Amino acid sequence: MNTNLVGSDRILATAEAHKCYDLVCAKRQPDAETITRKKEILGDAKKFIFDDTVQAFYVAAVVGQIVQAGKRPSIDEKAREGLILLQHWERQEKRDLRNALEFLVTAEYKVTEPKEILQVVAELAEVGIRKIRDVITQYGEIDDYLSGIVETLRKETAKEGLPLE
Amino acid sequence: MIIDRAVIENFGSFRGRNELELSPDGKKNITLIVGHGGAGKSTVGQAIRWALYNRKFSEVGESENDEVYSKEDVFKQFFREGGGAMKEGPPAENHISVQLVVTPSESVKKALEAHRYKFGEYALEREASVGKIVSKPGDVILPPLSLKGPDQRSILYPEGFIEEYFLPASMSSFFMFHGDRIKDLTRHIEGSPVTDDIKKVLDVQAMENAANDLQQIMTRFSRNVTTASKDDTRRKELDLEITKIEGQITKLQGQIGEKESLLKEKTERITELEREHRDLLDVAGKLGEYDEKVRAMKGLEGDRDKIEEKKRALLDVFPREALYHTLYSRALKVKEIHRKNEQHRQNAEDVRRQLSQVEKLKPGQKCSVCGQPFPEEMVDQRKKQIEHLNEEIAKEERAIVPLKPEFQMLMRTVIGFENIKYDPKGLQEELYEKRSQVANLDHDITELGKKLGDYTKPAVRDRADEVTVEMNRLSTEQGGLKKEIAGYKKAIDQYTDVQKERSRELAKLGDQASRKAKERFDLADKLHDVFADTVDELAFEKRDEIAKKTGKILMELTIKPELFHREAPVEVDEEFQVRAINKDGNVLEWDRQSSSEKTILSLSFIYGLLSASEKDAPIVLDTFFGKLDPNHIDKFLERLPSFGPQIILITTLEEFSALLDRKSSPFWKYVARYIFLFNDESTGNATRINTISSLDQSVKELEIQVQAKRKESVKR
Repeated sequence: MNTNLVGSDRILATAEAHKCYDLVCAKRQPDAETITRKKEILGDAKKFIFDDTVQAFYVAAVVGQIVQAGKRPSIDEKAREGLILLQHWERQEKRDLRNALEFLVTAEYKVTEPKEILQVVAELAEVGIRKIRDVITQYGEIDDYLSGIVETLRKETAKEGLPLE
Repeated sequence: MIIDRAVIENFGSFRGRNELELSPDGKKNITLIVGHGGAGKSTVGQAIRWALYNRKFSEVGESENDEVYSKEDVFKQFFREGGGAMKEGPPAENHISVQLVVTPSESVKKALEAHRYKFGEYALEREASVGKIVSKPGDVILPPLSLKGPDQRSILYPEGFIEEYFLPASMSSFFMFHGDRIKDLTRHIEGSPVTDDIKKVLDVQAMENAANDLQQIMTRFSRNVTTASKDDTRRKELDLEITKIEGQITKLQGQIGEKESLLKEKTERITELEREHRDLLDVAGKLGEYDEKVRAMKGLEGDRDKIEEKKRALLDVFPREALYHTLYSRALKVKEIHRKNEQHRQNAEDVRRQLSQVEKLKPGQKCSVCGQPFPEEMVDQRKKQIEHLNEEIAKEERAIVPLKPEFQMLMRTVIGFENIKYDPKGLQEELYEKRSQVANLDHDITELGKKLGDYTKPAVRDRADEVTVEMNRLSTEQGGLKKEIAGYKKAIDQYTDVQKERSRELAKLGDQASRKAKERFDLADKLHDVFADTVDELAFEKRDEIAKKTGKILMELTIKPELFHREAPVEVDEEFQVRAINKDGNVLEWDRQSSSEKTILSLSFIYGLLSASEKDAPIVLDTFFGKLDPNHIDKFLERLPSFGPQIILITTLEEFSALLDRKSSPFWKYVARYIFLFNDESTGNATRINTISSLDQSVKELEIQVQAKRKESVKR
């Protein structure tokens, strides 16, 4: 049974996920240990990869979806506290992304309820942000990894090669 | 030099002021001093010698070592009583002096005139004084010999004055001796080291003669000398002027030195400031560079941040493209399903059409073509066929998946992402480049920052301003100093020009002077030769004269003329050693001769020397008659008046008594006065003086005294 990651007004995340977000996002308040890690990994405690948690959340959800390859993640760790407000999830400028993700999750994971859909998205983001942390810890950046993902996907679609009708 | 008068004050046994008149009186050149033993006879001689030489009598042969009166010796004089005894207790007097009123010889007169003394009566005075109580010799004060002229001016003359112009101290022993000193004189006959003094006595006259010759020769060159004198005046003026100029130049050089020292300090300070200014400019330049780099850095960092921003913006693109491709794949799959669905629909339609045709054939129905009813079995077959087709239709229709809404949704979603592409590579490369540039610039800035150290812009500028102001001030002062130095140098040049001009004139005069000096030198050289020859000649003549006069008097005085060579009984060699020659022409063995003969030879030598030297020195003969036998005394008395211009004859009462026995001797006509010395018991046996000019006046008294002394002597 997965941990419930959808609160009444916000999406929740595990403590570890929070640390991951602290490591890579601006506008957060990392603890001393994370600051030290940032210095080690990024060379400067002030450096960051994502503008904010919302941006990181969406990327993490997509990365998690790729990593899981249709399999639903298993999140047993207790959610620590809120990650983002639902209103950020429902932002107009991210609506296309939200729709795409909801559609994908609905189609992929056979869920229909909005809360359930969001739960799956949050689960995928939990997986994705950990992967992002690992990649950044190893390479100091994430561009190549993400480029690799889209490159693979591009090849898949190119193989199919059929235009949409 | 004649001693006209001796004023003895508190010396030896004399107490108070005692004047002894000693001057010759016309032909009467003998002063006879008579006294018993201890009356103070020898003290007179000692007083004269103290006054003249400050020396005590010593052995003739040791004249160089004649002892100078020490303070202790003078100290003793304060305690001397009559008869030479020392008294006890403090002395009554605290002043001792001996004053000799003299008539200088011609040479002494010249010397004195050279010192601008007028000729007249001169008094040589030596004195000693003590404090109120004499307790030790150190209390004695000994002023040097003083010479008082007729104008009562007093000059302190050095001791050598008397020796030079009167008689050497050693020679004075010859002329002022008492009986015991005869043997000293005889020792000279045997050989003594006073030759130089004898020469000195003789050379004075010789020098005077030579100087006269020299004067005559010099007169002939007086014109040259006058000219040279004028040149000398000009040369002195020039010398003085040149010296003054040199002084000025030295002063100016000193000032230049001071100014140059200041200039050097300022120049060094300016150099320091220039260095500092340069450093400051360098720092300022570096600061400019630093600032520029910092600005560039900021620009680069801005660029980098923008790229990073763009790159982060791309992170919004990534999920879209990723979802696009995912959904696109899914759409393709849906499309395939749709195609299959269409196929199934087609198949189902086909089956339906077949079914509709099949359904038309019914039992008993006739063929429209042939009109024949279809066979039953055929109808059954048709029925089976219809069933099959219905099943087929159902199957196909079951296979059709209702996908249309999902497909539409997919289409909407994917079409929205269609043109989105996640490509961070370009930005990444750009970012790497910017980061590299930033890193390089950061390194440069760090290095530059290290070089700049603690300098901050305002401090550097402020200091540079200060340095500039100080440099300008110093440069102005430097310019002023340079001008001053240039002025001094110009003045030196002017002085130097004048100096050169004067030096040229001086050199010209110098040449003239040199020529004249050389002429004079040559002349002086010639004169020196003449002078030396003259001196040699004079010495030879003097030796010859001494020998002749000594020999002549010797032959007159001796009672044994047969012992000596008749024509040349005495020989004087170049060292002025006197030897008696025997009748065979050989040196007489002197030791074998009697004491009387030795004394006669000594007296003869005194006579010969005095005659040859032309010295008018007094002769003091102190109690020497005892050395002569009566025959010699007679002969000696006859010749004594001719020995010199002044003779002071000191005798004991016994000797005087013997003289009195020779009343017929011509000697008495030459006695100027008689000075009787005796001890005054009322004044502690101090010497008292009684001077008489004629023996007849108190001869009876004298005879009584003599007789009394004789009796006393016999009684002893």
